[in-house]
Amino acid sequence: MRRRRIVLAGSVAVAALAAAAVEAVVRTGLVKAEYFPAPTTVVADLAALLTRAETWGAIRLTLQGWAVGMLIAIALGVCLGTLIGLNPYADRASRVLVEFLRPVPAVALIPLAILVFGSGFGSKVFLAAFGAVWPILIQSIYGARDLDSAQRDTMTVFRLRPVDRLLSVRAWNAMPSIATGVRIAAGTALVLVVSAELIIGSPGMGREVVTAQYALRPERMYAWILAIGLLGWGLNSGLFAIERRALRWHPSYRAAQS
Amino acid sequence: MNTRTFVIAGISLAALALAGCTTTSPEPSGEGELVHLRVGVQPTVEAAPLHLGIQQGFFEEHGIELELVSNLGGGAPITAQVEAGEIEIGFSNPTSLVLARSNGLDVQVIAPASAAGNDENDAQVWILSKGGSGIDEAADLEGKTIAVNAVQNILEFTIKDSLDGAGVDIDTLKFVEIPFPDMAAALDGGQVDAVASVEPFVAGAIANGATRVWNPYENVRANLPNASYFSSGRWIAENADTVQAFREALAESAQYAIDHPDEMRSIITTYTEMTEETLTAMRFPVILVDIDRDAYQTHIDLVKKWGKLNADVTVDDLLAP
Repeated sequence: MRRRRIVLAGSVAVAALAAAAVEAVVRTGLVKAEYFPAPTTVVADLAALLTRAETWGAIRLTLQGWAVGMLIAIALGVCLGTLIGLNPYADRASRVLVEFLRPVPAVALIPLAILVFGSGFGSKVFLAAFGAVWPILIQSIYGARDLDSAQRDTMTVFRLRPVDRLLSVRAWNAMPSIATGVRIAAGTALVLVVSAELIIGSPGMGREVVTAQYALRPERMYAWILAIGLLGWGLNSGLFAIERRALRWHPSYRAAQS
Repeated sequence: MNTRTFVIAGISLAALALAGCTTTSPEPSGEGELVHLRVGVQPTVEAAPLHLGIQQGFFEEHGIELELVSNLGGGAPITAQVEAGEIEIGFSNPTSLVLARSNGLDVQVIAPASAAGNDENDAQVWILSKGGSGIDEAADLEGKTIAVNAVQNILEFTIKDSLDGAGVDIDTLKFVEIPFPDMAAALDGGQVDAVASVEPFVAGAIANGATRVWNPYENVRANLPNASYFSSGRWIAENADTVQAFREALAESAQYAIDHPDEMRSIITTYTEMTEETLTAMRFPVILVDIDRDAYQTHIDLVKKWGKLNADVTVDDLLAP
């Protein structure tokens, strides 16, 4: 517990130092405040923003797109990943397709998304799910596959039925791996939801960035960018906390705690 | 090729592919029922007449329930949305529509939106240089790099046409693509010699010491529309009455905006983030009420002269009946 507090204090100090350095760069005129406002200006504008109901509406819309995209990615990634991980035929059959689709940058699919899903919620969800599914899928494949010899032998000795092998051993064993995939995917999904809002103009935080930019309000634009950054940090910390709590029984988490 | 160009190119291709296989059209209206129309607009001053028209009930009086769909992508993505039937009416610069038609997309202008002013006292679009750079008049632009929001589009064509008329050797000009909001910083940072910008960014750049060099619409044509409402030819043909009702309501809204500049200003603050300060410093567009056929011919001529038409486009094709 104490260690964690020290780590937190350290990272806050680094962030504060970085902000102070940027502040100095802007205040001394090295970078013009018209293009890049000082952090204090941005934070003040963010504080003003947060008192408006519309702001929370935009945050809610971004979060909704993120959450739905993540749920789809988790459902698809875990199911397909487990199948591919356990079944050598599925593995071989899917390999080319997966390796072909995985490196496709999700933003390149924006034109397709607009045409198929329109410029609203659907496109955001599609892009988020497309980007987020890969880390979850890959982690699920490895999670389903990885089993140490003791576990394997125990399953054999107990003559577990395949369904029990899956539900009582492999599923639990795969969880930390899947959790890591979900956490990586969460960041990707947020980036893609915001990109969709930025480029397509679906309502949400990304669109607010552009609206502020069009209105010649750099401080407001950076306030929204800061808000998006804070949201990403919050989501990651939240997921990490849930993961640590839910998987505290697992040896790898037990070791980290003590 | 930047992301935007990439996205636009992709959308145009995909739109072409899908153009033939979409069948969406709004449900026919019953007696006294409002027709639901979706119009794609950007969070800019040019959209003010629509917002005012809704507020004043002009569209409802003409049997239209107007929904404004925010759209940031500009011309090509809006064209794709219209083709896909996601919105009925889009908002685009006429040059983009001429280019779209010549690329086989069935788009037609329904009504004009606005022009960017004409002389040095009301022009909205300017080539700007950095203060003290020595680029002060048209002749100084020779051999210089000028930023435009999109190459091979309305700004590049009007700049070439007007500077050619002013005796500048336009073959020496270099055009690069920079989005409007980033132009002032690029100019200040010395990445380009001049930028062709629009309001409110012109006002912002002037406040930071930029100099007005040249109005690209000067000498091209008075009140050249730089924004228009459009739809697909198919939708227009199937919904002639709705198109007519939209035109009438839009004309009333435009006239109302012209007659009530204060109300126009105050409605802008409801859908953009512009401050009073910005609204005071910037120049407003000339709101257009009537369609000027010859002005659209000018757009076609500009593309023919300075760009490339993949297929011939006539003003009769371009303008909806």
